Amino acid sequence: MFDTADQTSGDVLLQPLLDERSRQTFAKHLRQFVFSSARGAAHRAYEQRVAPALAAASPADARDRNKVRAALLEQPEYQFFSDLHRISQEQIWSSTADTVEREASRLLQEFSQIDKAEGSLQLHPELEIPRYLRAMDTHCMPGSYHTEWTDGDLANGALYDRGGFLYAPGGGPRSDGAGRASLAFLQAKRPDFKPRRILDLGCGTGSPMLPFAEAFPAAELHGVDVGAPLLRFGHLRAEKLGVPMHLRQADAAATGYPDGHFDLITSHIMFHETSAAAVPKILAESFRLLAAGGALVVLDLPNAAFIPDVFQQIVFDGDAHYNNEHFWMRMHDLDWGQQLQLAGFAKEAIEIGFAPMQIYAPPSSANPQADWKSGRFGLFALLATKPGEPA
Amino acid sequence: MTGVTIPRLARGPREVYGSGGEEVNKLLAAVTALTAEVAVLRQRVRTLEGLNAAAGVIAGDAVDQHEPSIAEREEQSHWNEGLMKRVFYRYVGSPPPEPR
Repeated sequence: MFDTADQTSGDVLLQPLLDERSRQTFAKHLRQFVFSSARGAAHRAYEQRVAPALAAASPADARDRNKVRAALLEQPEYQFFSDLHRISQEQIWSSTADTVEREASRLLQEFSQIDKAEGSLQLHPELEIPRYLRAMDTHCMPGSYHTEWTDGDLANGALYDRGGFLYAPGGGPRSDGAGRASLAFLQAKRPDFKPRRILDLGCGTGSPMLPFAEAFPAAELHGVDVGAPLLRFGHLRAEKLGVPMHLRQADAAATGYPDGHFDLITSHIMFHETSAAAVPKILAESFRLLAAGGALVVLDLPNAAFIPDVFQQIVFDGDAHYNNEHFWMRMHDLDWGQQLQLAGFAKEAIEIGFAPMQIYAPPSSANPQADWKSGRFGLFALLATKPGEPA
Repeated sequence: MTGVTIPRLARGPREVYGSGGEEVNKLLAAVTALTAEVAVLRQRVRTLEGLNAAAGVIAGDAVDQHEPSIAEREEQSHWNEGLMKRVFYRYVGSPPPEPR
């Protein structure tokens, strides 16, 4: 059975009408079909035809990701899998856009009525959007993170929040599964760590920060992102949830905060949407922003080096080809240890590993209470600590 | 009027898969969108049936015997136009906007 999770009025600001919700549910299920049945058919083509043929010709070719992919592209099952992958992604956004367009003016009105905010929102319209985000619509979301369709727009924040949930319902109705995973990773490594000021890089609508607000209620929560519509939407939601967040429109490579301002910096599934040139700049900025003894926690997609199966590597790379995530593949080959050392972190202060995914289990007939479970798959995670004793 | 219009196609490369080329890819997209509409309709019908049965509102062959009014035909006409735009979005959708 496909996933039954959905967002309800307590979790989100968008209220889809029944047909919109059904269309969105179909898009969510289509993605699950793609990664179960369609992927299974492509995998059988790989095992039964592609792998034996390549191995017979050259054992080295059978292990080469690019050669295997070239051979897979000739297989109808892989063509169907790949094309449907792209279509499912398009339909997640198009079905959600119907609701966003209908609700856009209500969201604008609610935003204008925020009274006595506990958090804050600092926008910088003059900010230059990084080229890696301008060049194409990341993960096929029309307008990407930064486009404003009208003045003071929240639309793409709403689009991202709803579409992101449909893409990964296991992340929970508030899309905070990635935040839960990085928090669990941090707490396992440093159980006594109590950050006072936290910064989330590429915070989007602030979803990954929600578990940190709960775990560290005394901490000040900050987030930066380049997308103004996401930040406006995040600000509105944070105020409605009563979680104070200080959101700033800034490039993660140049945030504008003072040196040593934070004792915890996090990023969730952000780096794979940047570029090879941006990674060292963002890491150097993180090192600058950390106080002595402060920690950087990065959570991102699995590194190809940790995925032994060639077919699985190609499936993971699929988003680079079918989902406008052009840096996905190259980030897989990044030497994180080296990059962190170049940014200033000492080799012995870097821990690279896995953070088990935290998967939302929706209420069911058998178990009416929603729950969270540790998944089988781990996300790539690293913890890097700045030298020195905390003040 | 909301003032917000979101394009239904993204900017960026879109690979062509298979020997059938771009036209076959478009057709698969149309079939998939059409399948979505079948799912949407079924859910709506099921919802109505459930709500009506619970409220004891309609009985027997009332739906089969119904003759649509002018207003209902207008609504149907409008809805079908929207349906076709959704199903054939790869043929008739606006091109994505230029980068800002």
